[in-house]
Amino acid sequence: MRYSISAPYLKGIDLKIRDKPDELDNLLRKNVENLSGWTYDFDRKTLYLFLDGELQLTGAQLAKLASFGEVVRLDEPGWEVLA
Amino acid sequence: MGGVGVTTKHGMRQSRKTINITHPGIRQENYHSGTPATLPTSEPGTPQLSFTLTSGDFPSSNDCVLSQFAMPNLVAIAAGKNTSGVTAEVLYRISVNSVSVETGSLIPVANNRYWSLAMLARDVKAGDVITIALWSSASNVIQDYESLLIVPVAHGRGLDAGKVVLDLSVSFGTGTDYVWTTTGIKPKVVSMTARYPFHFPVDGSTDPAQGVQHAVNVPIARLSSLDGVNSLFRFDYGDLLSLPNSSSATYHPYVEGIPYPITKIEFTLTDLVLP
Repeated sequence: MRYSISAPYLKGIDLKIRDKPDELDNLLRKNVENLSGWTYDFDRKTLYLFLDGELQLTGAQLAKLASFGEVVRLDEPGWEVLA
Repeated sequence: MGGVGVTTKHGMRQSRKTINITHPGIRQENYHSGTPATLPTSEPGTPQLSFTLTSGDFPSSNDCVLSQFAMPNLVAIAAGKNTSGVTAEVLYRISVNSVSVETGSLIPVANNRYWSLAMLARDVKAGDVITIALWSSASNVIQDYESLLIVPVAHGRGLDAGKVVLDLSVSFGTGTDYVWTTTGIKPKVVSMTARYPFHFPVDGSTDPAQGVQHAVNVPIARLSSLDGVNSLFRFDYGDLLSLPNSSSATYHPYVEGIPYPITKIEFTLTDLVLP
């Protein structure tokens, strides 16, 4: 499954990402153990999270990630806002 | 754009437009001249890969200036193999004219697996300098493949928002224009399917029945605006979203891409405007 976390909530960590993507990487890996990849789009100020196959974020992971912004699951028709 | 204007008995002016699109195909590089590069274990101060886009990299049309009708997005692919002996992570940053546009990571890549990164830069133009920095969490992760592909998206961006179009038709090529291959490397492009639909209109609603490998016919559509860009329709990956990255035990590269190019768009432009 794929998820996005959208602006404007990510603005607070935008500069951190620009300077040190490794730090964001560590942060995400701590919060999402089954993460298979991520991408941050500087233009859209949106973070995309990739999980293998049909794996989904757990409730606890969603709760943690919701502090960064609106979490949307992208693989379903009519993208589903989760948190 | 080609088209003939007609005024109906109701006073509505209509003009049929046909946009034929020719694709140059993928631009494969041989940056390392056959010698794999070993990735550093932290972000390099100077990106390893640098490309200057030329007019020959861009799709074109005899019916209009295509970059005015559709936004040219760049999909850049980098690939290699984890030979570190341990599970590793590959990170990247892609910049256009020294401005970061995307960064990301592929986690994890098991030892002896191939890795592929698909990176996106929006609305590029000839003369833009694309640079890519790659690094890894472990030593001895190699990189030996890179390619570029310009994908036109947000078709109709030069038209006015709110305008109503009739009989919108979109045709696709067979994908032979986008053969991802190079000597000694076994490529795999995972086809986009109906799971990754068009967006009609561009306000987020989707029609999952429409896959990008099939011709599309829509009786009536409205030019909508998203992120300040007008368009008749939008795609998910390569347009609205980023591209997922992947690893494979067999394929190199292994990319979820956009292998079926749009070759023709036809529609009747009216002077009706819906706010």
